[in-house]
Amino acid sequence: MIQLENLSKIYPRGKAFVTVLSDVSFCVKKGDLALILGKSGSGKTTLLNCIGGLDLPQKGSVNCFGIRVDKLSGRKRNNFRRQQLGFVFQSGNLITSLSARRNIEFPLILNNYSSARIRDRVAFLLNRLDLEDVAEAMPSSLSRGQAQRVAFARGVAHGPGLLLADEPTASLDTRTGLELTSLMNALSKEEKITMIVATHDKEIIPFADLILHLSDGRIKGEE
Amino acid sequence: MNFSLWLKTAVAFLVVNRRTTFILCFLISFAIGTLVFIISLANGISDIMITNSTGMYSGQISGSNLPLSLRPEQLKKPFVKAVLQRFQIPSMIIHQERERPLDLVAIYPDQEKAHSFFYKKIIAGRFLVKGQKEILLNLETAERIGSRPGDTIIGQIGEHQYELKVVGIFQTGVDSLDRALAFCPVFEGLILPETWQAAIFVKRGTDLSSALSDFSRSGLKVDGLKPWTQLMPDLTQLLELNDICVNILVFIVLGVVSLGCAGAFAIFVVSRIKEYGILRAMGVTGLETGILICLQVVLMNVVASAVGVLAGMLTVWSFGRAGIDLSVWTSHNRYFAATALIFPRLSIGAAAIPPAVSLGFCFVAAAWPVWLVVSQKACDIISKG
Repeated sequence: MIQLENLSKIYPRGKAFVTVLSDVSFCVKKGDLALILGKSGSGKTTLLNCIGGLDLPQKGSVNCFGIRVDKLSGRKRNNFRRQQLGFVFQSGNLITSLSARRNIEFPLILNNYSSARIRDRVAFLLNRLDLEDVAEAMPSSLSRGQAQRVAFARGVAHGPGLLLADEPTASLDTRTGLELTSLMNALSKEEKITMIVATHDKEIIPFADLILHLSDGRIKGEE
Repeated sequence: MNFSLWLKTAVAFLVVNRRTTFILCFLISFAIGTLVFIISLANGISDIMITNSTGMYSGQISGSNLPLSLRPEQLKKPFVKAVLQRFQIPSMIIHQERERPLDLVAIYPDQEKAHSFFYKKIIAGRFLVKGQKEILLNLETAERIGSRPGDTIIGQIGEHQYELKVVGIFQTGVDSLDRALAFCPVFEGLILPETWQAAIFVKRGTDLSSALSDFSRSGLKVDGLKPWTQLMPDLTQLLELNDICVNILVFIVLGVVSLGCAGAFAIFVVSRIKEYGILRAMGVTGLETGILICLQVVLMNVVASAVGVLAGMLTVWSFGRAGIDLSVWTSHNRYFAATALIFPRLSIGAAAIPPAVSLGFCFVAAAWPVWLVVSQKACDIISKG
């Protein structure tokens, strides 16, 4: 379970302070897909950063599978991200120097998986996400949809408990976006990966188990 | 830590950005190749200065006041190329009622011609012939007593007088030789002193201190043997100065190149900083990120060093075959009195110092990009990138 309580994040801007998140609280069950809907600047990315331990809140707590992420030391937060977390960023954000296969392998090698397990897992993901034909392709030669699928495969390769996706469909057309969301949802459910997706793409709503409306750093509604 | 992962990733980063990698490698290898050649050239200059200074007359080891009981053959060790025996006799030279005191050095002309450059410094007449009653005068003495080749002069040694034919006049450019020495062959009837001087020419690469120890160990009375480094402190200092200048040059050139590379590499890293941010987001630690960046710099440096050293060696080899003639700039320099043909010499230092210094500087060059990536939060890098 992912549980956030009274999470607040304030950024200094010049001499003033800007409240980006204010008393955000919600709870996502294991294996569920939570959707954070909100306009640009509503605090979605900051919220994901705080959940993933990329940023620290000034107030409140982030509890992921019984671990207080906000209380972890830098090294432990690194380990937490390495083992328990997967990220899918907007526009893929693959490592451009590595082929699709190598991108997917990366978190597995990082987590010291055996060669055999890496081979099997990568083969499974390439097959499952229909990426076999582009396995050896470099990111620059992939279509946006393929790049996002590779990014998703990389995000879930090491079997994390939580996948954070920031605008994963923003750079895709509606049909490709829906295909990707459908694949992400199906695979996450199969592998019981909790997903938190920040988006303003309302096409994804049918896949969500929980919908949170974020506006000016506050949760305005929960469905 | 999975080192092979970082190594493979570093290689991939460099290969994908092959244009930048090539330019940086070219810069480093060009600097290293140039420095390998410059150090080899400096070695060659030092060699020729030593060769000129010792080969002219004194040899690499000089012996003075050696007893006649010690024969030149006894000094012929495996590392010795030649031992030239000389007898220095205080004498008076008389020509047309003009007198001049000097040291007459009785020599074996054939051996001298075979091993020293002295005979090349004759400016009028010819060199001495074995066993003849001949004399070779220095220019100053010849002018003072008004003598020219073909004249006959009197050489007075103690109570003995010898008629000697002037066959040549020499000028070496070395004060100690040009002021108060004259040469004659050892001839029949010449009364020799009880001691002799030795000019010992050793084989290339011989360590002079070990050579001297070898002489001492063999039980010979060789207290009078001294290496050229003691006899020519001016040359020793010049060579040390040469070394210092070259080392400073190595540091300056590589320092400047490294600064350029650091800037270029920082741009190289900044242009893909978002990827480093993603790696950090995936749980890659700051240390691992630093290692990844350093590995890229080290790999580039290793490849560039190998190419640079090879290019430097090839240049040294190609110039080393014909030599580089510096005689236009050294005609009035006594350290180049016999020859100014420089043969660049590759030494272990010449091949190792530039890559080693470059490797040291490459870590300095990596420090800035590492700091750029490690000092920022992953989320800031991603959002700014």
